[in-house]
Amino acid sequence: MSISTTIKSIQDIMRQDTGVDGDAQRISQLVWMLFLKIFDDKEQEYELLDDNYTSPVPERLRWRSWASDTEGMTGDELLDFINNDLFKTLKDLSFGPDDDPRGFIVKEVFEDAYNYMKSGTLIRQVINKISGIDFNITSERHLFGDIYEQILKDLQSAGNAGEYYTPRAVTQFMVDMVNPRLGEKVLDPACGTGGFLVCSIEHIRKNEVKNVDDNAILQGTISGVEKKPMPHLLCITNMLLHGIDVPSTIRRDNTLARPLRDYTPKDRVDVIITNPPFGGIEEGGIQANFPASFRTKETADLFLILIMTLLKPQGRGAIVLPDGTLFGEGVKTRIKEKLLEECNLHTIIRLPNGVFSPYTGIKTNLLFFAKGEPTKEVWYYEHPYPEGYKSYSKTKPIRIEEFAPEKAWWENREEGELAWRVSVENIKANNYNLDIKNPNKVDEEHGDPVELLAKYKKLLAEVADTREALKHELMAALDRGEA
Amino acid sequence: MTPEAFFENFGHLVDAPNGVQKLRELILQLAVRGKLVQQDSTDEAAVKLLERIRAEKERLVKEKKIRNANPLPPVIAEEVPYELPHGWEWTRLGNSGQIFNGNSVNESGKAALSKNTNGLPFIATKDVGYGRESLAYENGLQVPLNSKEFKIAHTSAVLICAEGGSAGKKIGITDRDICFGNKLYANEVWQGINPHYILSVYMAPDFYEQFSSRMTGIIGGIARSEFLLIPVPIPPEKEQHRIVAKVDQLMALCDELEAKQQRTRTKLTSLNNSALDRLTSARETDDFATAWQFLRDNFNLLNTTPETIVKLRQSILQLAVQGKLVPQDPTDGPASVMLAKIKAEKELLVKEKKIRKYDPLPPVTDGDTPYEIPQGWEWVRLGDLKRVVEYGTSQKAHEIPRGVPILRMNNILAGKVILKNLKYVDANIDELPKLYLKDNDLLFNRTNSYELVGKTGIFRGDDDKYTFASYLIRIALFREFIDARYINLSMNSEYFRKTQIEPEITQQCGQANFNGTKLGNTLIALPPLAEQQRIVAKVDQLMALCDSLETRLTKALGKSEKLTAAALQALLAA
Repeated sequence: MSISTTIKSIQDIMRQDTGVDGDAQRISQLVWMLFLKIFDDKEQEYELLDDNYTSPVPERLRWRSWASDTEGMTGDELLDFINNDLFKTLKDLSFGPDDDPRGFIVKEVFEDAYNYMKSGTLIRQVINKISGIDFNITSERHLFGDIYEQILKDLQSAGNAGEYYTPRAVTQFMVDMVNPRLGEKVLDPACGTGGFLVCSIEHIRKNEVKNVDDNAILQGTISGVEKKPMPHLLCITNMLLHGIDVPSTIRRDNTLARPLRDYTPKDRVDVIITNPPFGGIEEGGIQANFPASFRTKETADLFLILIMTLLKPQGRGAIVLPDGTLFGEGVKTRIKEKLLEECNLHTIIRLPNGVFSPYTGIKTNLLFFAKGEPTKEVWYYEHPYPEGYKSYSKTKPIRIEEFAPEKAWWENREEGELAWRVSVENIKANNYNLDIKNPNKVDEEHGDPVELLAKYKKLLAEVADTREALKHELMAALDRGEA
Repeated sequence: MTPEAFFENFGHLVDAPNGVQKLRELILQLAVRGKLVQQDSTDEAAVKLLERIRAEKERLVKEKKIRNANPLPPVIAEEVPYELPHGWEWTRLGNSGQIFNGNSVNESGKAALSKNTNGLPFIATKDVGYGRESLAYENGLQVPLNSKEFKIAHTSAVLICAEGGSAGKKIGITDRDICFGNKLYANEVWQGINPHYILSVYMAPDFYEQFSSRMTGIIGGIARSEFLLIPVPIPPEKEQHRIVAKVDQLMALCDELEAKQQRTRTKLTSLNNSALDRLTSARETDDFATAWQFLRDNFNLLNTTPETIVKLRQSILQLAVQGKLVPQDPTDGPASVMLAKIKAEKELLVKEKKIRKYDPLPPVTDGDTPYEIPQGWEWVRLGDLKRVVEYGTSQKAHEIPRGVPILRMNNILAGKVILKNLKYVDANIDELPKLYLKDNDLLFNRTNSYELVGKTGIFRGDDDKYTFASYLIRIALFREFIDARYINLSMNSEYFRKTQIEPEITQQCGQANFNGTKLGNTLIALPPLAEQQRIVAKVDQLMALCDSLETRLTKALGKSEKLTAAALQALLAA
């Protein structure tokens, strides 16, 4: 049975349980169970590689001990075990992040999780379904990444906190352009379920990881922070699946909660790629963590400031921002001034409406910059809809192939119908408004009527020509019929 | 209609809405009835061809390469919809090729197919077009080459959708081997049958008629056994090739014509917009004269579709408030005299405590004014012309026709207040009688979507009968000095929208807002009262002409579409 059908049948079983209410709880329930299973599968791998491996999970609580036997514990006995032994013990594991990072993760996961199901028999049915999946098979693991994204989509009650699932194509394009290298520290300060991180891992792995040592380097350089428990849990599991053995670098926290001045050079990283929540509003206390001149409630703006602080000199950043930030004034103006002075904002890709459909229709932009030198000019590229599209939708999402022209243009930039550049002086003169429209778009509406008339008449004549040709063909065919 | 009359009016007919589409249908109908290309008496008759196919089939059955199937009954005279040319033959579709449906694949099956990186494309109904388009081969689903579970339709198989809303309409032909969905029938034609000819047969309206009469079920589908029975006309093999070539050629011409028609439509819109913008934005007399000359010379060319009339109306309003529509008359006296009178009247009212004391509005400076106005006119703030500006009642309205009708934002339409679709409030609410509308009050919509916020209409009706909702602002003017109809048309003009309203709209939670204070500050170009009245009369007259032109154009388009359909039908019958 394929994984998606397994997941579906699991959800069907859970629907029968009186304790589980709604999609959110169902997914939450599913996620901790999957975590435990994946963790156990991973441990099998560790045990093969390391004879001295000891699990941070007490033997009786490991998946293999109580779950994998399909005829094992069930009914009230199982329910009692989960509620009063499994959860209690794992929540109270006394591991710190440094002495046993793996144990720490398990503890963290179970601190945030909850067993909603009330029927031990149904729990057993679910467990047996999950036991049927082997996460050590690469193909299943890969498909699982997609299912995660699916779960996330289900989970999102559409952007209530400004969080949107970033389309795969956008993630991929940003990572490709920023090009994180092996050994560079990569951070996503609002990592969600880890889309950018996974993409970065795959990017580095494909290009540079040749041996076990390389892999070990990669493990320590990927980090992320997520505020909400469920995406955090999904992110950790996602990291495990993508070969990050100890995803203790994925913290559950609000990155913005730490005062900006408390960050030291050792917190700085080489690469930041992120899609911060837009339109989210941070509580007043959070704002106090920022210098007075940059205080704002807009989450996306606060993240932009944070990223500038967190990048090393020469560090590279890529961020998804709404149009509002580009043209906004007040605090936004000051933030953009700082960005242009401290970083080289070399590229802005302007995306059309609907890239984030159905979560939001707002227009978004991809900003690429490097810290350490001031901006001299900004290149803009207007990403067009593919031929025949009026908008993107759930069934017609943005695709990575569409970015091929941008990729070709990236290293070899020329102004054209879709690309233009603006000097920093012009931007300053315009009060740091970065919302600059494409000047090369042909605007016929305001052209010279005489010229347009000539074109129109020519076209009319062409229509007449084609029409005549068609008419003669038909006449030739039909006249014969008359004869 | 005779062919002569048809060709005489060919231009009209194919330029009608859907004209080219109808023409395509005609071409296909002619093709399958043997009227499109010359018959050649030296061609081997289709009877022989069908005989050969039958023999070939028997051989394959004998060799166990295909399954034996009962022969289809011959086509009888009652079934024949029209006479065929010499050498042609009616047969059942099932005799033209091997016809079979594809494989049913569920969601998980699709997920599995999407993982394959090579193999045969899996084509479902959504990947099939309406005849001549290429199939969407690159749809992400592929069947491994060695798969035993999937049936294969080879190159040049003709596909047709057999079930659902697209049944009989979605049609295509393969240019490579594919696997395909169970709602599609593939026809792998026998040697001697041209697959592109079968494609034309499928696309011709005659065939669809046969097809749909055999559909059953709620979803609408055709059983394979029924599908095989559809009678199809088979020409001699050589003639099939000639038909295919001719259809290709004519369809290409149709494509070209359609594309060009589309381009002329967009070109016309931009031409019209640019010509009218020149006129309304001209600052110098010479520019205006040139722009007008251009418009006048090309007036008939520009105003041939209902769409361009919309812009024409806008421009008339704009010209009106620029003082370019009617001549100025020096005996009217300057508008400033009226303004002084309004001011005096207002001060009196304040003294009598009839209206509240107010702060003077900021004076109008040259930098604020959006365009030049004639001698004797004044730029004024709307707030300086008002007796009152007030918001409506937030009382809950109900549908029962009892109490006082309350006008809401949907009652404002195209500068008018429409007294239809009314709701009602009780007559004894606190805000009444204060919020009763009087004849000639203006209603301004202060909260709506961005596109609609700011729409304004003039209330024409009995005093003290209607009230208005809180999303509307009422503007009552000093009627002795101001013609409310003139202010209404100013507020509906393009400059007002672009320079006075849009820059000040605030947006929150998907709602666009505009408040009474801002409304008081908006600028109006005010002519003397007599000229206001002349302008209103002229605009009314021109708008009536626009209305009738638009109605006639719309009617003409509708007529020409019907005419085309009728003409082609008649031609086919001839």
